[in-house]
Amino acid sequence: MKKTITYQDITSGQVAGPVDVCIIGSGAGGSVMAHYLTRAGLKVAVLEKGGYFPPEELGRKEVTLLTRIEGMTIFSPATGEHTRVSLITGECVGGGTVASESVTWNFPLPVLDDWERMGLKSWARSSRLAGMQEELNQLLSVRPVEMTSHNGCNQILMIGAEREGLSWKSIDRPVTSCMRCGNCTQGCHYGVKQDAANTFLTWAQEKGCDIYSGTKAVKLSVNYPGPDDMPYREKLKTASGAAKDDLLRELLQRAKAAPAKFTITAEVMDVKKPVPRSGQRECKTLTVHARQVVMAANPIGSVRLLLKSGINPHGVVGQRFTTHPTSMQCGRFGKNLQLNGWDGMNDSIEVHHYAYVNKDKPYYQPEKHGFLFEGALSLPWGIANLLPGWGQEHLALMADMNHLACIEVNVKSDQYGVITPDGIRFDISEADNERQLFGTWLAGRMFFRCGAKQVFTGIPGLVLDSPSQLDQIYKQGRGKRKGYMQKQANMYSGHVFGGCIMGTDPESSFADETGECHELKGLWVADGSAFPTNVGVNCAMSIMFAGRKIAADFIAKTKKTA
Amino acid sequence: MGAVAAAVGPWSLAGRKGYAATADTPALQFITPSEYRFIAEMAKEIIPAEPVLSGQVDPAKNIDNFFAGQNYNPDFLIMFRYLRLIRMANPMIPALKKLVPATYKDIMDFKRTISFLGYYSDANGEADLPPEKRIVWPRLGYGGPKPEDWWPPDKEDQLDRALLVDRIKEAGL
Repeated sequence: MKKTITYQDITSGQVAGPVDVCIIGSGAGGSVMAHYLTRAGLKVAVLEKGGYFPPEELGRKEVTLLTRIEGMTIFSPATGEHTRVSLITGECVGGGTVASESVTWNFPLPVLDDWERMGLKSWARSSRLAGMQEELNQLLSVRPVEMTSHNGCNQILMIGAEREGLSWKSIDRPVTSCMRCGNCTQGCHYGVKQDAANTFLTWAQEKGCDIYSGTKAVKLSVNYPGPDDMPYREKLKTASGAAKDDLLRELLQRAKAAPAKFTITAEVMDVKKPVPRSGQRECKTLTVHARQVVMAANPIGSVRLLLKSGINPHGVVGQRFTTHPTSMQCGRFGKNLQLNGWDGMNDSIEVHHYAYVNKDKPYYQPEKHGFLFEGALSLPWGIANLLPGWGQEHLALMADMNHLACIEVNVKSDQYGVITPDGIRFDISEADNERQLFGTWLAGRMFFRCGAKQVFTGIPGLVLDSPSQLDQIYKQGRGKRKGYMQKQANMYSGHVFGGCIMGTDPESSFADETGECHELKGLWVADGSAFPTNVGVNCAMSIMFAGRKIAADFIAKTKKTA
Repeated sequence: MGAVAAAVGPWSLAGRKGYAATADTPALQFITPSEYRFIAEMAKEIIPAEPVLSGQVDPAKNIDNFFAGQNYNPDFLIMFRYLRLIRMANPMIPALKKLVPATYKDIMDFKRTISFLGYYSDANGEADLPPEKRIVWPRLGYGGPKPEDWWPPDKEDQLDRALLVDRIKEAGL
């Protein structure tokens, strides 16, 4: 992609626009919106908080890249009464698609059915939606990983699943000629991952979209309301005659006085320099006037910007946050088994037997099932943090790093939390805990099926030396809290949803089924924030799919209004 | 004394220009000498590997280098808030272990996280060194970043299933 507009390119106090659309966030949702809206002839500006990192600056370094391309709540996790989940989101041009393992699932059809039941009729299964999904898959060259490309860690999951009688899948990925270097989560050094920066944002740029990087939107101002916005919509409903004319005239005059309906104030920083210890970087102010605004800064960013801007109709912003709490289980194998799990493609096998996508299968039990297994191993810092203890005991475990395999248990939570301006409140439910425990137990079995000498579970302090100890998984806890319902359990997730959800009722949802705010027309949401439920699978494609559908609805509505 | 220094805290962070070397600390760019001493001591407890004990690898200095030159993310700075709390709590750790085991575990987890950052991660500086000059990663069998001229093998090594003994079957479970 061409160079983005950065701190070096603007003067403090610079004003941009008015543009037709300002998109806040450049990840899976924002990038797709940018592509389709520019293609429809609209003038689009994208504001991205993180920096732009071309392929030559990506990959290879575990922590260095973590701090460059990901926004984290590692040190300030989502916390509830008995849960702690560290959230990881993309924070660079291309967002989470740059840092993801590229696992690609089509938007799950059972989730579309759920959304339809919630009243989101245009999300019902249809040839229109199927066509959009197919189009995205083709644009991103999505294809399954070849059987000979699975590394040792993923082969363990595959063989363990086979021996346990569970179905598995060689995952689909949007990658052309993968180099299998093992550094997907540090961004693709070879530029072959079809992330949003390499695809939709590049195409949008070619059509004239302006992409600002290092640009954090700090305030969204509404310069004037329209006749369909609250409270004028209600006032106009009851007014008649001269009173109604006066109201309409007032609205028209206010609209004439402002450059556009919305103004976004942003701080532009040089994000490609180390952050000083004060945490405060120098910044320049950028003002963007926009006729319409799309929120796509992931649930945390979108919610916080709206709350900070005082936009919170009926108090719904920040509500219905949800995620896929994930734990990692680790198997230690004998010295005769060289796995080198850090090498080769990470996360290329998924076991979806008990995933929500199979909810219609006769064996599926909703209170216990609803999770995915993923084969994944981290780099040395991640592995060191995963393994228990310290001192000589820990050193011995680390010396066996090449004989370790890991399995993630990725749960489709049925619980909802709240995003606030300074925190995220979230607790897993009793059923989520059951799902985690069953997943942990099964992962343990799969490791032992492949001859593991030891299994380090995600439950604090629980190490299994033999299959006969597997039932300990259901017994381990602290006081009344069992399994993962304790803050010392290390759970994390890169999949975040909700906070500005779509729905039919303006009293309980932010946006209608097209993604446009019920109470403030021209304000849209087009990323995971809009999801009224989570999806139970790796979500980059689901968010792109939502962005594709919302873009189509946006264009149709805008044409109609014009 | 360390706990008192932590309570007082490093003042004027924005204006601080680093610290010259002293008898027991190297020149520092980002962390304070008292933080350096605390992390160095902590790292020896958490990672009692020969290179750390001998000073050949200095996780505390690595952390200083990392934050001064590599960290782009404000979230990582929260680490220093926790470090301050842990330094204050440090004299009470034996009591916490007995009385509040969950808090004790949290403290030890944090000590691990920061010590491991300075030793195992690329904050150790080994990503930019030729393999023969690396100290930590060869001990793990970790190859580090691929060289620019690297090319993948045609296929990944396939595991020999005969080596994967089914312990569940063996145990009759």
